[in-house]
Amino acid sequence: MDNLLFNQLHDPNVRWVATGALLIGMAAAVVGCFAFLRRQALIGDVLAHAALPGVTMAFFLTHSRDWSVLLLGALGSTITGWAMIEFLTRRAGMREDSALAFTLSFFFALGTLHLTWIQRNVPAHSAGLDSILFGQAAAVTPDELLRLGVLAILVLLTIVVLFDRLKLVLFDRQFALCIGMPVRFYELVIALLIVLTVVIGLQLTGVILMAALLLTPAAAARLLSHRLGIIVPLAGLFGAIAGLIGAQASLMAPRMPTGPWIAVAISLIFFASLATSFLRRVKRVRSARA
Amino acid sequence: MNPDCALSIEHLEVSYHHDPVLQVRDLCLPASQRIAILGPNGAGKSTLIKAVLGLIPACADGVRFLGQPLRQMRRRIAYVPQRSEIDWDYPITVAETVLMGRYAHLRLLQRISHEDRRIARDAMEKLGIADLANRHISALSGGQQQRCFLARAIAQQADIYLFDEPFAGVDIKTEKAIAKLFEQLSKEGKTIISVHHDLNTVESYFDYAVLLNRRLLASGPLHQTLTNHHLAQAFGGIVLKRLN
Repeated sequence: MDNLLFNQLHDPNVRWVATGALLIGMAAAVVGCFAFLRRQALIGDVLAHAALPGVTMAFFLTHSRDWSVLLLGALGSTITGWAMIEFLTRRAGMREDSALAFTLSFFFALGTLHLTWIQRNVPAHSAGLDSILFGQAAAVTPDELLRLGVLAILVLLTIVVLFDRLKLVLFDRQFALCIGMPVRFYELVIALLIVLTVVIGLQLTGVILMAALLLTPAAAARLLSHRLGIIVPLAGLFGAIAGLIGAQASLMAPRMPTGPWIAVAISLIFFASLATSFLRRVKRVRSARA
Repeated sequence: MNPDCALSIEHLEVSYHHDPVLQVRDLCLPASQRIAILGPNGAGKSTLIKAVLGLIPACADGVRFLGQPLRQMRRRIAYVPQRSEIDWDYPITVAETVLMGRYAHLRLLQRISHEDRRIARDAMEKLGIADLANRHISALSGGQQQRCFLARAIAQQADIYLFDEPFAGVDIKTEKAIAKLFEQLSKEGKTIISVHHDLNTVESYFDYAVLLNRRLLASGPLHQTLTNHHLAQAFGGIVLKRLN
């Protein structure tokens, strides 16, 4: 039982990792609620995949494994991916699902090719670079994870401050425009928050399973409540639990990727919510009949 | 530019794919009236409302509300869209929806006050949905949903109200509530501009009518506009029998 997170909290390293993972999980889940409500559930998935070529390019140019450097690369290519989706849907008149599918495969293919090339040709430094695919909390130093945690706090604070406005704009865009709210500004804020959380969540879940951390908590919380003021904190709680499970996994099996652990844990929470909402509905129907 | 007009339009043209779907010239809708926008399907009734609110692209010249351009009047104009345009799945309650009307008067980052909550509660009571305050919006009947969005418009405390088919598919109770609301608002000096589809009820709920069929056919008090000549122009011969 020694390798339980709870029993190791006296170790400051473990404490930092746990705190960072918790904050990142929470921020991703909370921001994910807004992507979910915008009916853009898949955009986080696409943006996470779009980060891959940025990470490999940052490594290729600097030969550094410092996560702050890789993060800048990820940020650059994620924003490029987002701009591409906007261009394809707004200017080129492409349907959104096609634009998302195209952007995802294009960026991911580029990134995978580059990653393979790097592993062949720069083997000395690149060991473990592929942990970006499925995430590995243990591959980040506690110091870096904490820095990501601070970014996550900033994301969460932005949401707290703008919560009511974002709720309104997402619900009824036309009404928001009518009463003169800066709708495009709020939409840009949401897009930037999604980009930022995707990038800071990458090391925890990896590009392939990032969507699980963004969307599954929101979907699970939506099943349990019809009030946004409850759904968002509840999703945040689920995300925090998933983050802790990721930290626990990396403590028990440091070489194993953390992404699948997190995705499975959050899916179990989802199934529990599904069962709860189903039972509630059955109960309501029965009491309505009685 | 007459400040007595609640809404005045010098020239407005809306096109879809270079095909003009609505053309309006020199329209003045008087303030403190209950105004129906009438016309057959596809006449451009909703298009007119959305175009003057800047919700769809349009070539517009000299569109004024009470003599002012839209930009300065936004918070004083309340708009209730068609029910089909709302995302009924969205996690929001009746009370939260009605409270949104108050955001028209809030500055950036300003919070909802007790006074705002009281105004929203009054609006819900006025429309008989106060007991539904904590319900999710999808757990309402069609008429209750309509009243919820009317309450949001009332909570906004506007001077001009634009409604898109408020009477469509609602129950008798809601129909009466809306009619009473229209009467009250116009007594308070507010202007109601509402897309309407039922010629049989125009005279009970409105004072003034605008007839459209892709262009402006007539506008004026009911007895001037609802003439056989104008109605035939708008709808063709079919409606004549029904009215007479």
